[in-house]
Amino acid sequence: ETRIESAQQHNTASSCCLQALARLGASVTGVDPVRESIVVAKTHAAQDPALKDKLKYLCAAVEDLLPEHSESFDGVVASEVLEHVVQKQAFLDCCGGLLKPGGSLFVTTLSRSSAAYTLAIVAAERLLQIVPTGTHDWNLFITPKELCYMLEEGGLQVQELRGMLYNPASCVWSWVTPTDVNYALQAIKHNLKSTPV
Amino acid sequence: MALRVLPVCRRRVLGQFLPKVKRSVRACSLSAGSAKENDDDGHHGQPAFYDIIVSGGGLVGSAMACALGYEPMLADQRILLLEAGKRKHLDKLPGTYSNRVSALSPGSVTLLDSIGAWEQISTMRFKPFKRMQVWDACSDALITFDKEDFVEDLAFIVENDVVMTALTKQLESIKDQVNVLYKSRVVKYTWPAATPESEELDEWTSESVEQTMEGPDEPCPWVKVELADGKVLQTRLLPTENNVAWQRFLPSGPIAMLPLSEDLSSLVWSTSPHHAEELMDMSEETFVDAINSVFWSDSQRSEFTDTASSAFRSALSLILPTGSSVRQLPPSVASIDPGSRATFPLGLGHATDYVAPRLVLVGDAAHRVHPLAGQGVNLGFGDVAALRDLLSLAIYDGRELGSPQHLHKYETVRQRHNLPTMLAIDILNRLYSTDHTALVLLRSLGLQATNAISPLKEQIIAYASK
Repeated sequence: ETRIESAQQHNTASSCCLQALARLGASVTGVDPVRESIVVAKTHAAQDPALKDKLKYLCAAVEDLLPEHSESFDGVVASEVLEHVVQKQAFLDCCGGLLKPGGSLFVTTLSRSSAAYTLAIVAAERLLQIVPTGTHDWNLFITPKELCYMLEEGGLQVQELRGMLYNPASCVWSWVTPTDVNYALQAIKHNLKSTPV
Repeated sequence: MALRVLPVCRRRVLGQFLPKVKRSVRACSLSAGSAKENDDDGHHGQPAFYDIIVSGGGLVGSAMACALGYEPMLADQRILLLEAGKRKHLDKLPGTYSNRVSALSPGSVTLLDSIGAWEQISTMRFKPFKRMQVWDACSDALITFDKEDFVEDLAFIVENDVVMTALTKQLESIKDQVNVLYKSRVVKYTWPAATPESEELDEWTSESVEQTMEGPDEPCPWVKVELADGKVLQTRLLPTENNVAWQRFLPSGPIAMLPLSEDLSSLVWSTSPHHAEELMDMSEETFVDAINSVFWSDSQRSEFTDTASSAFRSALSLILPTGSSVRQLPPSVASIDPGSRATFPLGLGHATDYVAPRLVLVGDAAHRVHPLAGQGVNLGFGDVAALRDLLSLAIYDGRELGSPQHLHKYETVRQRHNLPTMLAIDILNRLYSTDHTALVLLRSLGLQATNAISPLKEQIIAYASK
């Protein structure tokens, strides 16, 4: 039985991802400090009876889970979260703390590059209005290199790194080589480290 | 012979098909079976839940239920097939052939093979043909279709009863997973509400077997023969090797002979309802004469077009020396099987939307075409294969079965194939429905040119074989 935890902020789209994981057999816990997001996600999940015992939601921050759920998850998904977090190292360390040794952390986020500024802020927010203006703060974006460094500090080894691109015309995401705008990575916890308070 | 419907009742309902379907569907309510409804109670108090319900157990509906049942990714899904009629099964092959046949493309055969139905059909009877000759009544232009060196079969003529028996047998072999309810006429569908707060959790795959889907003003089912204006019959030919299909375009509509066995063929004649009635009333001998006359007569040709097309043919042969086909003479009809004449109405229709929340239209529910290209059921089987693959992909991705993304992909993929096919068939139908000299000349030269360009013909065959 696979247990997966997801830190989910401002993001109802990732609830579809969690539902998919639950349907494929994982036992999934979705975590979000914002009550409204949890309510929406729960309503959405209630429509499919197959998800009942496999998907649960908690209104909490990732840090709150720590003493109780330390090293109890096979996988942690932080999708489109990191670009909203100020204390990134602490957040990543918490995620690592929740993982069993050998478990995987999956992160998708945006890179702090000029390409990302043009596409994600100017184009997506201001011109095309794909997301509301003010959703992202470019200064909080993190480059893949910086993220890899932080993960290694936290005892996680980056296994895979891929760029992603969104086509607003066809509404389809695809994998691409450049990681200048959106990217996804998988990191594996390879040794035990003491978790911060 | 399938009749072209008179303008007054011709259902030119492009773009209006789906609303018509919806209206008539809302007028019904479930009379038997145990599918879950929003408001009604089920058969035994607690409504039963099925992951997928296929409405309509005709050729395409049964193939759909079978394909879903045999798909490994969908092994956990509970599937129900609702059929208004009774179980269609030939306990043994009748001595005479049925007058309802289909020309199955290699693509359709692949689908049937994947569900084990083709093996069943092979133990019964079917007739492959390797070549098709199509020519004009108003000129001597012709086109022939065949695969290189006659090695592969172009298509397969199978009686619909034989296909149904095969599908019924295959359904019975997976009855743990696919439940079939015969004599279950759907009388009401209740669709889920548009908002996500819907209670409705079953999946409807709706396929037209016309008893359930069409309102009182619609023409009658394909399967029942005693309804209105089309015609199908069988002929006994002079003995030759019967591996060619023949079709001649007359201004009143095409007439086609499709091989069933060495000396027997199925005839499909499209014409006006008035002419169809005359043909039905004729004695059998007069009818046979009428058939032979339209296949052989050159009375509608004009000298002008003949001269023009033979000049064109000579010009073509200078550029493309292998560009012309040997003209084979069609067989003569010796007699017809008594009592085998029947008619059914024709229509053209296409639904603008194939999908809605938790609903998919498959086969004739989504599109109806003129039989002149033998594509009707093949388009339906193509829909079945595409939907099965997309539902399987949805499960693989962890999505819900009714996931709009995957349903829309089905709609896109199938509309991209079906619409051009329907358009081409309709254009051909209109183009050949006239004997105006200018149009006859245009289409004759066009036909000859197409016949001469082998890569183009190969593309056409490949497209129609899907």
